[in-house]
Amino acid sequence: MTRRFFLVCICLSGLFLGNKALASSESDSVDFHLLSLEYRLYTEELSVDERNTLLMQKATLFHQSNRLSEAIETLLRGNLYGGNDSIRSAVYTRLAYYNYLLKDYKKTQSYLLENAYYFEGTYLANQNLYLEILTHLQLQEWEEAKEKFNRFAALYTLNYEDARYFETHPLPRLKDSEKAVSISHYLPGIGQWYAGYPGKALVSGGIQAAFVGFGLYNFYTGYFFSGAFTGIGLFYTFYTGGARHAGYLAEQTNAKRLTEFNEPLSRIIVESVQQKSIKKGK
Amino acid sequence: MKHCLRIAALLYFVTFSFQGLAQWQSEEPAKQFAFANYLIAQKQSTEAIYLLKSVLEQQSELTIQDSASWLLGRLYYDKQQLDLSSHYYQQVSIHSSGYSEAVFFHYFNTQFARPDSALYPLLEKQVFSNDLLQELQQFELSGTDLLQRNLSAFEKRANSFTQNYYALSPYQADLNSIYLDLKTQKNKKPWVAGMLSAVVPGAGRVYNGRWGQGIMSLMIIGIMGAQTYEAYQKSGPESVRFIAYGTLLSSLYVANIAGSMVNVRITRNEKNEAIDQKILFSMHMPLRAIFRQ
Repeated sequence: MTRRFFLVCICLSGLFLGNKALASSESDSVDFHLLSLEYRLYTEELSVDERNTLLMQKATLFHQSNRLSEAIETLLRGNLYGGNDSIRSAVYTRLAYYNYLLKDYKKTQSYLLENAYYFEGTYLANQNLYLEILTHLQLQEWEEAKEKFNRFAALYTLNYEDARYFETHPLPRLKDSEKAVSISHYLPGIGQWYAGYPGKALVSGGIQAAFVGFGLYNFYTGYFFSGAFTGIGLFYTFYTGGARHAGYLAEQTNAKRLTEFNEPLSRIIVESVQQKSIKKGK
Repeated sequence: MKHCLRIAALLYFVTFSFQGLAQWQSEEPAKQFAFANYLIAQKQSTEAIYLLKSVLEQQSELTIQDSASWLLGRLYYDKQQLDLSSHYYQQVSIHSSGYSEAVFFHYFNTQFARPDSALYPLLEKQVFSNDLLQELQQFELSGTDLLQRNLSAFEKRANSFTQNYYALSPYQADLNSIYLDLKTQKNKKPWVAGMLSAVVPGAGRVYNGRWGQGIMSLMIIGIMGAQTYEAYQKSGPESVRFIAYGTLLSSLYVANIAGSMVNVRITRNEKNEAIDQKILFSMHMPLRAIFRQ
């Protein structure tokens, strides 16, 4: 028993010390592996596919250490026009995915379109359906998102309730921030009301009405300077500031409504993809 | 069981003891430097830094240490991490061919981080055999003279400028022009601005060259004065309205005087910082032209 314990200890200590020698910290470990991959790129005679695969491994390491821009730069060092289609498509997919994580949805869409164009008619063109839907949602391209989601629901055999998401959830009704600003110029506070903040609308309208009242009362009682500069002056300040604030509130409402619509749908999509990949793994 | 233990020990050494030593680590230094140059050419500076640090840890030979430190100084300079750049440049020994570059860049990096400090000792005691480097040394020291606003010291050093070197002469002319500006520059005084603002609100800001701010101050205090006067005329000196407006007016009046004085100090600091940036730019450019072409 003691000897067996001793044996296990030796192996475990070896593992521990080995890792310590390998890298003194997590970031050191990543740099160590990045350098080892780069050394292979430097020394070995690699085919286009081998080179692209190594660059993808490097990009994965960058992704794992949350260095997405460097991951994208690494992938762009690869050959996007030669070699095996599956590997090239994987590079396009990763480029799209990393750009999505960086919230650059236009670039995401651009890489997805490139992938669809180069591999049209093959399964590679459709393998990024989930990412295409998520990108359409972020870009508020509802029709495209709906059409692709219906295909996704059939492909991933979603349950009845999830598959009818677009039918059961009304599309977010977005506010026009410019409209909120302009109507606030006609009637102070109405822009905030339009943006969905009636409380703030009443406060804003009330303050401005109070200053106008103060100004008029002062005019009436013969205090023209006070009426003009304190009453009307402060009213004007709140009038322009209130209108700008209405525009800002409209944008906030839009962000909130988009999140409310997109998040549950994104969750359905991501979970379905994960479940399918787990099943495939089994 | 004894046999088992031996095998386990052997496995331990074979599997783990050498795990940390990757192929690039076991290469000879010349190949490691070739790899580092490849990484630099590929703009993989993070990996290059990691490799060179590992070379520094592994190799004790002076020439290798010098080359690695010199390259690390360059890499950190390119990454605009000037403190680390200085740290590695400082480690380059006098026997290295990159010593001159290391000395000048260490001097500049430190001066850039601390423009207020007189760092003469870092450069003054160095002896360079090359005429260009001797003139560069005087040029960099003259830059520090200007940063210190030591105009007489600059004058003396500038007399030794030969203007013979293409990489240096335009920047020598720049430093000379900054010197002339500093010589003729008249600093505005905060107390004058305060006094002017006390006489005519906003005048202190106009004196400081801020016309817009001056007119705005005059308008605000004028408007508040008009309202106070109106309250005094119609409600009398003991009325709440007069006391309220009067208090506001007095506060604005005093704040405007103080603001004018602070404004002069801020403008002076901004101007000095802009001049320092110009000096540092002129000190920097020849180093790039001479050492980093």
